[in-house]
Amino acid sequence: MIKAVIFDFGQTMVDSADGFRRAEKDAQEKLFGHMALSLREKFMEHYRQVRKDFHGRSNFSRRAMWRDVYHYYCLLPDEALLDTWETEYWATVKAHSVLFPETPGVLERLNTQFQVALVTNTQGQPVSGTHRIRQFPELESYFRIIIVAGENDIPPKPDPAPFRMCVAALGVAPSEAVYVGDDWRIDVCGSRDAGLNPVWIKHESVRRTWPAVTPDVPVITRLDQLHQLELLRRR
Amino acid sequence: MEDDIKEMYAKAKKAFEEYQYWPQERVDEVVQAVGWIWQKEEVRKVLARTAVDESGIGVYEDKLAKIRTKTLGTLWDQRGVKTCDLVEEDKVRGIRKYAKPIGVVADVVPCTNPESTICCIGLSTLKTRNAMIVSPHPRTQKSSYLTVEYGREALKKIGAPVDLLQCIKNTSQAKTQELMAYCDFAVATGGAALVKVVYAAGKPAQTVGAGNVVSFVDETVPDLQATARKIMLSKIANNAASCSSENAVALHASIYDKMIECLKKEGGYLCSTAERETLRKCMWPDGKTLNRDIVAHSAKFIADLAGIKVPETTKFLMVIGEKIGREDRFSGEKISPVLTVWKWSDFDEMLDRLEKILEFSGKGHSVSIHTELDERRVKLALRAKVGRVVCNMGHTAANSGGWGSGLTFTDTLGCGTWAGNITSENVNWQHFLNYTQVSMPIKEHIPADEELFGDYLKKWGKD
Repeated sequence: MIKAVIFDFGQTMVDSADGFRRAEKDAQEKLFGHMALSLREKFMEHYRQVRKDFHGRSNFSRRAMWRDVYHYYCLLPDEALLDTWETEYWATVKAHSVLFPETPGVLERLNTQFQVALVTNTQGQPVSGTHRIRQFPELESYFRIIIVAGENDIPPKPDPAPFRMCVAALGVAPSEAVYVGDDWRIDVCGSRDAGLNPVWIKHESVRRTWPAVTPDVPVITRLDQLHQLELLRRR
Repeated sequence: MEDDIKEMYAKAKKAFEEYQYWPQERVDEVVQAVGWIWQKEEVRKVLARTAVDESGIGVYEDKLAKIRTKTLGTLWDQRGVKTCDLVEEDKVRGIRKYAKPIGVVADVVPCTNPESTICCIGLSTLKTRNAMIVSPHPRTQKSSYLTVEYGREALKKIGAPVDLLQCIKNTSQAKTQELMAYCDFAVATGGAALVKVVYAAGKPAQTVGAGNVVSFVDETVPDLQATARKIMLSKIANNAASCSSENAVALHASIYDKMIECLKKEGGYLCSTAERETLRKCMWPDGKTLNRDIVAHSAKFIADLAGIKVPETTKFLMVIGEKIGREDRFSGEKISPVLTVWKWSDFDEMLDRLEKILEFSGKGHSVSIHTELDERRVKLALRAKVGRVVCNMGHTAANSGGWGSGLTFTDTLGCGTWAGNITSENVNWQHFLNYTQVSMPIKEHIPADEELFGDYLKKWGKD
C-alpha cells in the first residue's frame, strides 16, 4: 500500500524550461565571447558534449562545467567571472520559472491521503540552501521532508541514497512510496533502483526531447493525472 | 568505476612497488618493449590518425614521423645509461650514488602532442622504474588513451606490471587535479596557466613555459634560400603546434629584402598593412586572447577564416613586426603558421628588443640564430634568458631533440625559473630519479685560508 508520494522539483512541479533555455543561451554567448573564438558551431558542439557528460554524472554545477569548456580550449577561466555568471544564470532560471497551474491543488489533495515529500538535486547553485524551491515558499508547507541531494554530503540522484534517506525519514518502506519525476535516468531509474515506485511525468507543457525508451512505469502528462493512477487509488 | 583516480593510483603504486627493485637488464628490456610497439608503423598510423581526427589540429604525416622520432630518440638518449642501483662512485670523496625511483608520476599531456609526449615521458619514467598515470587533454583523450593502451600491451607481453602505465579515459579538470594530488610527482606539458594549476597541487613537478622563438638571420649566412627553406619546414611542421616553432624571424637589414623574397619562394605570404589588421582581429578577437580556433591550423585555413585572399600554395603567413608587448600581439606566441618579421642592423639593439619580446612572451624557452659568426652565437647565449640557442638549424626539429642536433629528445621543454619551472633543460629520464649517497670516511682535510681566500687576500689584504 502506498503511504507516501515524493516529488522531484524542476519540470515536475514547475516549468523552468524557458528559464533554462534563456540562461543557457546567455551563458553560451558569454563563454564564446570571453574565450575569443570564431567557430561557433564547433564551440556549440563541444559545449553540448560537456553539458551531456556533466548531466550524465548528475553534476549540475555550471561553474564546473564551464571550467571544463575553458580547459578544452586550453584557457584558464577567471573564477570571479564564473561566479558572477553562475549567479546570473540561476537568476535567469528563477525569473522564468512558473508553477504548473495544477501543482498547488494536487499537493493539497495528496496531503489529505499521503505523506508528501520532495527529493530534488541541487543544480550547482554556489551556496547551499538556495535551491529554487525557496522561490516558492507557498509550496514548502506541503512537504514533510525536503531533501536537496548533492548538498551537505548527500549524493545526487540517481544515487539511491537521497531516496532512501527520504523514505526513512518519513518512516515508510521504499515499496510504500511513489516517486514522481521527469528525468528518466535520474528520477525514474534512480527511484526504482532505490526500491520506490516511479511515475514518469512528461508534462504536456514542457518543450523538450524526451529519451526514446519504452517505459515500464506509469506515465502522466499532467500532475493531476496522479489522482487517476491505480497505484494511488488502491489505498 | 571508470577513472576512479584513487583506485588508479593504488594500482600504479602496487605496480611500482614491484618494479622499483627490478635490475637494469630487465628495466632496459621494458623500455625496449614499449618503445618497439610505439614506433611500429601500424601503431603510429592509428595514433596519428586518431589525434588529428579528434582534435582537428596538426598534420597527420608530421605526427606519424614525430611519434617515431621522439620514441627512437628517447631510447637513443637512454642507451647504456645506468638508472638502477649504483650509478656513480667517487673514490676520492668516498661517495657512492644509488639511483632511486620517485614513485607514481602524473603526466599531464597537451592536445598538440597527445601521443609523442607520452612516448617521451613514458619511456623516461619506465627507464627510471617509476609508474605513470596520464591525464590527457579533453580534446585528444582517445589518442592519449590508445597510446597508453599500446604501452600496456607491450608491458603485458614481457610480463611487466601493466599498471606502470595508465591513462584517465574520460578526463576533466577536476580529475587532473585529483590525480596530481595523489601522485608523488607531476610532469605537465602546457603553458603558463597549467604551471599555476600544477603547483597548486602542492607536489614537486616538472613544468614548461610558452615558446616564442625568434630566429635571427644575419648577413653572414651563405645560402639564404637554404635557410629560408629550413625555417619554412620548421615553421609549418604539424601546423606550428610545437612550442619550438619559429614565431618570428629577425633579419639583418642588408639581407632583409632578399630573405623576404626567399621566404616568399618557400610559400610565405607577406600580409599588407590592411591584411595584417584583418588577421590580428581574427587571431585575437578581443585584443588579448589568442583565438583557439586558429591554433595549429594551416595558413590557408587561417587566412580564409580571417577573410584574406592568399594563393592556394601559401604555407605560412608573414606580418611585419611593429611594437612589442600587449599593444602588438604579433610579438608574442601564436601557435600557428604565422611568422612575425623584425629588421635589425645593430645586433646589440636587436638583443635589447629580444629581451623585451621574451619578457612579453616566451621567457626561458629558446631562440635560434643563423650565422657564421660564433661570437654572435655566444653573445646571444649570454644575453638571452632562454634554455636553448639553436644555431643554423630549423628550430622545431632540433630544439627538442633531432638526429642532427645534440639536444636531448623530449616533448617537454623546461624553461627554468624564468617561466616558473624547476629546470631549463629538456625533460628526460634524468629528471625522474632520486639519489641516495653513501658516504665513507676519507682522510680529513681542513683547507687553509690561503686555499680558500688566496686571490682575494692577495688583492685586498686581511683587513
